[in-house]
Amino acid sequence: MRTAIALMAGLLLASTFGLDTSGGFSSRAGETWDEVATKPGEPDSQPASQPASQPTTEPSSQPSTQSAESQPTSQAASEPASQPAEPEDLYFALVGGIIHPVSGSDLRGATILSKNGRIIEIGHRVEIPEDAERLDVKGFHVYPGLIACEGRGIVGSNPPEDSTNVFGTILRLANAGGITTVFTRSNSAKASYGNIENIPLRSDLFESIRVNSPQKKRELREKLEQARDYLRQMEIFTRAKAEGDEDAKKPDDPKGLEQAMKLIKKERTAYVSANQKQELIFLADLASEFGIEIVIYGAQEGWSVADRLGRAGIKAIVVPRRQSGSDPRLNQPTGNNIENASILYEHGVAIAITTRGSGISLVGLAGADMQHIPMEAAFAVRGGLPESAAIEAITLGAARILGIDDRVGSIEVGKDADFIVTDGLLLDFYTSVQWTIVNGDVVYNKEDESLFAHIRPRTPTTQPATYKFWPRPFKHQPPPEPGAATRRP
Amino acid sequence: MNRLFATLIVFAICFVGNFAKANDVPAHRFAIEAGKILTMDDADTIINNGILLVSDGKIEAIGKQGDIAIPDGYEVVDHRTGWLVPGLVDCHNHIAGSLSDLNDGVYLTNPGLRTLDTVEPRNENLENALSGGVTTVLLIPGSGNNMSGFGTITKTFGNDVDAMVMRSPGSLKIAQAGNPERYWYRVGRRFMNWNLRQTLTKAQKYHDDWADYEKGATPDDPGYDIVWNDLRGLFDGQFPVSVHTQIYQVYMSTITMLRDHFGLDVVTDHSTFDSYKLAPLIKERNMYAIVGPRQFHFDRYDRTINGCAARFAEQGVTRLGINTDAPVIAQEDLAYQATMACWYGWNDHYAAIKGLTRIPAESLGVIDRVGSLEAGKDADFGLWTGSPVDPRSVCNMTMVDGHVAYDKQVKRRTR
Repeated sequence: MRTAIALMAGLLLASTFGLDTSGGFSSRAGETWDEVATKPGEPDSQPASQPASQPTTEPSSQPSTQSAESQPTSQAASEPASQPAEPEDLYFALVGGIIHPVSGSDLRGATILSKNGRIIEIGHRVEIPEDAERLDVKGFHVYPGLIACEGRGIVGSNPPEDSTNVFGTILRLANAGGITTVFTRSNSAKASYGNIENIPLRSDLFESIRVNSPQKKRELREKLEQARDYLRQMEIFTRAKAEGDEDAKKPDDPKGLEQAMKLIKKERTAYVSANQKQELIFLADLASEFGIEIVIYGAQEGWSVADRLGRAGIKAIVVPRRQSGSDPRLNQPTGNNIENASILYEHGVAIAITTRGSGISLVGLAGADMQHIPMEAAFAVRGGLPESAAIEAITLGAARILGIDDRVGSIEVGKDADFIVTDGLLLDFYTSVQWTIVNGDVVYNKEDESLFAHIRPRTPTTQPATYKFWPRPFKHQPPPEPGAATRRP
Repeated sequence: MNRLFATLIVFAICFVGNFAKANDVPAHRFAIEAGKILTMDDADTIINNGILLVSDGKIEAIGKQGDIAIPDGYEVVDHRTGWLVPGLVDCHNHIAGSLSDLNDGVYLTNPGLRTLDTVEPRNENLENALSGGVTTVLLIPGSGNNMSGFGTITKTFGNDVDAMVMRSPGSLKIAQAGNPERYWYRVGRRFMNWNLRQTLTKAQKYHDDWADYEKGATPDDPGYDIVWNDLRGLFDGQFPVSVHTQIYQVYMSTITMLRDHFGLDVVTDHSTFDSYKLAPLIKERNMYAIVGPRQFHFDRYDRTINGCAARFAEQGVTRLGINTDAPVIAQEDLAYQATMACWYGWNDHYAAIKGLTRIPAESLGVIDRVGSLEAGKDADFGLWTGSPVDPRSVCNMTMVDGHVAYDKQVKRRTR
C-alpha cells in the first residue's frame, strides 16, 4: 500500500515537474528546477493559499521547443480519468532532528520542510502545513543522503530508470546503508526503493579516457593537441573572415576528435581509472597543459604526488583502504597508503570516498562493500582526514565531483529532500540508518523492514531477546563425557 | 697480511651481528605509560592512567601510574592519550608462511603435514599484520583437504622461525564440507564424515594401545607407526583441532562427531552461515566458537540479516572470538572484523575486543603466554589511539616479545 502511494506520489511529482522522467537531464530541465526552487521562497509560509495548479503551469510557460521532450506531461494530461486532475503539493516535514547539513554548521532540534521533493525551509520556527507528512525524529541525527561512487548493481546504468529493479533487495539494502545517490561511471542516479520516477539525475558529464598504456597516453595527447590546434585555427579563420579576408582558409574538418573537443571546450569532464604514480603525473600534466577537467578513480599512489595533483586541479575518487602492497623492486614510495585521502585533501585535491567493493554483496564478507560507506570514511579518518572532511567526501564533496551538487549532497534550501536519519554519529560503528528519505519519500524505515529491524531495535520490544531458531522446544540428552561414549568399540 | 686478517674479523663480526636472532639481541627495557590499559585478564581489569614495565621480552609489572616507579635504564614511552591493548590473536591464518603450499593435495587425508615447514619470517603480509596490532597467529594448512595437517602457533615478528614459533603442532586442521568438495572429484559430506571417523578411530586406537603399554597395563609393544604417532597429542589434549566448519548440519556433525564422540578439544573456525542456530549446543559444552571471515548471514526464509557473532552472543555463548582466514580478509583487518560483528548486532564492545585477544588465545591453549596483559606474560601489545574495534583508531606501535616490531613513525604502513 505504501509503495502504491509512493508510486502515485511519484507520478504526481513527475507530472508536476514534467520533464525529468525523460532520461537525459538537459540544461533546460535544470532551469525549470531552479525556477520551482526559487518560487516557494516568499509565499510558502502560507502554502495552503497557493494555487494548487501552480507547478503545472510553470513547465508550460517554458518555450514551446520543450514540448517534444515533455511527454510525461502530455501522458498525464491524457489520462484525466485515472489521475485526479488537480495535482496537490506534497509536503514532508522532518521534525526535531539534530541536523548536520554538511554545507554549514549543525542545527539541533530544527525542522526541515520539503515540498514536492525539494527542501523549502530549514529552521526552528517552520510552519508545517496541515496536510504535510510528518516524521518526528527528535534525538536522531539527520545527514544528507550518501553518494555511492562507482556503484554497480544498485541501480542500472543504461539508462537507470529502465534497467533498475526498484523492488530489489539490493536497492533496499542500499537505502538501508544510507545511499540515496549512485554514480555508475556513465550516470548519476537516485537509489530510491519502489519509485522509478525519482531515479534519473545526470548522465551527460563524463567522457571516459584511458591512460593505462604508453600507446593510449600518446594517442590521447595527440588528439588533444589536434583538437587544440583545430580550435585555434578555427578562431583565426573566423576572425579573419570577420575582418573581411577572403583568402582565409577554413581548417579541415576534424575526424575522430569529438571527445577531445568536448574535453578542451570543458563541455565534459575526463573520467579515468588510474592508480600508478606515472599515470597520475601524466594526468596532472595533461590537466595543466590543456586545461581539461579530470576526475581520477583510484589514485592509490596519489599520496606520493599529491602536490602535483593539487596544483593541476585534479579531482579524485579514492578508496582509503585499498591494501595493495608496495613494489619492493622500486626504491621509492609505491602502493596504497591509508593516509592517501588525508594527504590528497591537505594538498587541495577535491576528494570523494568510496568503498573497495563496488555494489552490495549478500555473500557475508562484511565491511568491504557499499553497505558500509561510512566505515570506509572512518578509515580515511584513521589516515588523518578530519571527520568533517570525511563526511563531506561521501556527501557534498562527491556531489561536487559528479556535478550534481545543485541537487544533492547537502541539506540546503532548494536541494532535493534526500536525507538519512541515524541513531548516532555517522562514522560510529554502532550507528545504523533508521530512515532514508529520497525526494521527500520515506523509502526505508528500519522498523518496518525485517532486514535490520532486530539489530539494536529502535523501540524497546516485548519480544524476548533471544531469537527462537528451534521450531519446538529443544530436548535432547545431555552431552556425554568427552570421548567416554565409544572408546574401544 | 695481518691487516687483511683484522678486516676479515671485522667483517665476520658484522656478519654475525646482522644475522643474530631477534630474541638473542637483548631487548630494551620499556616503561609504557598509557591512558587506558585493557588487561583482558580473568577479572576483566581495566586500568586508567596505567603503566606497564617490559624487561627481557616479558611484562615485568603492570599497574597504576604512580603506584609503580620507573626504574633506571627504562625507556619511557609516552602514550598517555591512547589505549594499550594486548596483541591481537588470530586462530585462522594462512599468510605467516609462503602462500603457495597451502593445500598439498596428494591425499584427501594428510595427517602429518606441518605448516612449520612453510613459516616465512618477515614476509610482506606479516609486516602488514603488525601494523594492525596482530602479534600471534595460528598458521594452518588450507581447507582443500579433509584433514590437511598440523598448524603452527607463531608470533608475527622475529628474524627466524625459532624466534617466532610458539608451538608446533599448534592444532590439527580438519575441513568438513565446503572446499574439499570443490578440490576433489566426487567427494561429498557423507564420505568426508566417514573418512574422518575411520581415520580418527584408528588414531585413537593407536593412542589407547600406547597409553596402556606405557602405563604397563599390557606387555605387548603396539608397534610404531609414524602416521598415527603424530596424532597422539590430539587425544592427550596437547593441541586442539581447528575445524573448518559452517552451515547447520556440518556444524552439527562437528559437535556430535569430533567433540562428543571422539572427545577432541574442538575450535570451530568460521562458524558462519546458519551455524548460530546451534548456539545452545555450543553453550552447553562450553566450546569455543570463532566467527569469520563471513560476519553476517542473509536468511532468505525470514528475510533477515543476521550477524553471526551477534546471534551466538544473544544465545549466551561467551567463548566467542573473531578470525580473518587471512588472506581472505587481510590480516591487518582482524580488528575490523570485530567492528563488523558489532555493527551487525554484537552489542558488547568489550566482548568484541576480548574475542580478538583473550578468547582465541584460550582456545589455542596459549593463554599462559599471550592474549592478556599480566606480569610474567610475553610483552605483546599494541599502542592504539582508541579502541581497536573503532576503524578510526590507529595502531601507533606494536611490540612483540618486548621488541618494537612496528612503529608508525618509522614505517608509515598504517593500512
